[in-house]
Amino acid sequence: MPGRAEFSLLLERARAGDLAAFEQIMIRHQRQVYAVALRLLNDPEDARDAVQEVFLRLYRHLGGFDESRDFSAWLYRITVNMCRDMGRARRKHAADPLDQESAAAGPDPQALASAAQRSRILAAAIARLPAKERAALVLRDLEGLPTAEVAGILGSSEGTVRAQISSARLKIRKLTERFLRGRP
Amino acid sequence: MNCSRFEQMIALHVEGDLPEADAARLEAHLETCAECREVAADLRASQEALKMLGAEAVDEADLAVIRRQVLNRIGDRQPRLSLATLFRWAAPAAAAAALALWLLPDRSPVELPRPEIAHAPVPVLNPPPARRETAKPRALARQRTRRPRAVQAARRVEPAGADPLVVKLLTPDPDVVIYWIIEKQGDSE
Repeated sequence: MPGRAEFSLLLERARAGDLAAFEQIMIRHQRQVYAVALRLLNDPEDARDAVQEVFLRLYRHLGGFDESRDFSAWLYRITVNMCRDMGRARRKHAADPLDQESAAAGPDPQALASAAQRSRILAAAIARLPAKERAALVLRDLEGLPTAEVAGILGSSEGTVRAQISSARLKIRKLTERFLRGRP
Repeated sequence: MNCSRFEQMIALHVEGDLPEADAARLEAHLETCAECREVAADLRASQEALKMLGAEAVDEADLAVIRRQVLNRIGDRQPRLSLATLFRWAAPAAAAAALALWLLPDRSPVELPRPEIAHAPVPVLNPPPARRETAKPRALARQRTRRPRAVQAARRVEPAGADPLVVKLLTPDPDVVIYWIIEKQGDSE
């Protein structure tokens, strides 16, 4: 990651309308945004749309960013909010992702042994979680952020986040047992 | 012992999210409960799988396309000429325009006289009536052509066989007066 002074200069140039500087900011953060969007939305196409919207929103609000705060956490917050909004609009018509994966895999649990299928089952299991639990799990376990930072991003207390990730991990465990190991 | 309560703690403990006091209590329970040890083992396995999911590679080409789309959309929304650019060029452009106006000759609508149509020689015996007679055609011409008054002509016709014919042309500029002198040649006229 770049030094604080270097990043501050990039921000200043981007705020002044320098698109090359803004592109540098995107390059440094887009993996983070895409990874979170993909896990929250469980659809590559939707995730790409979300990344676009996140960076457009970021560009519009760059002027209001307080540099004493953590830029990455701010960007996570924009991403989570954008995916929540997109997820609400999408979920009305969406089928259960785990049902789709299990139907595609067939009845034999041994057929789920491939890494790609395991990944899809896990991703579908995450997508099945309630929105707040999903966001907490993705930020804590996939992005590796400390619980306190996750709480700051989600606007919750640390205790609430702990309860959410605990519940989410147990659900993931049960779903993976059922779909990957054939346990009831 | 209520193991369902410990499940919640195990789910935090496997990632080090449990406060120390609770962790010690849980470790003591795990030593005596095979069922909870199995839950802990399963949770560790599913957490490992989750982390592999998070480490999946992202296609760089996809990201480059997304960046281009974002920049295009930002470009579409921005005005083509920024205020900074406008101010950078406005002052030199205005100075150049002022200099050009100062250097160029007066381009006020002065038309060259066309004596064969508008200013045909009309004998005038008395100058004041002549001014009234020339006013009417001039007014008509303005209505028909919608041009500003370009030329105001007055003529003094001398008796035939005397001095040259002199036509005085008045222009909108009071400092510019055009005299048209026609020499009479031979007896053909």
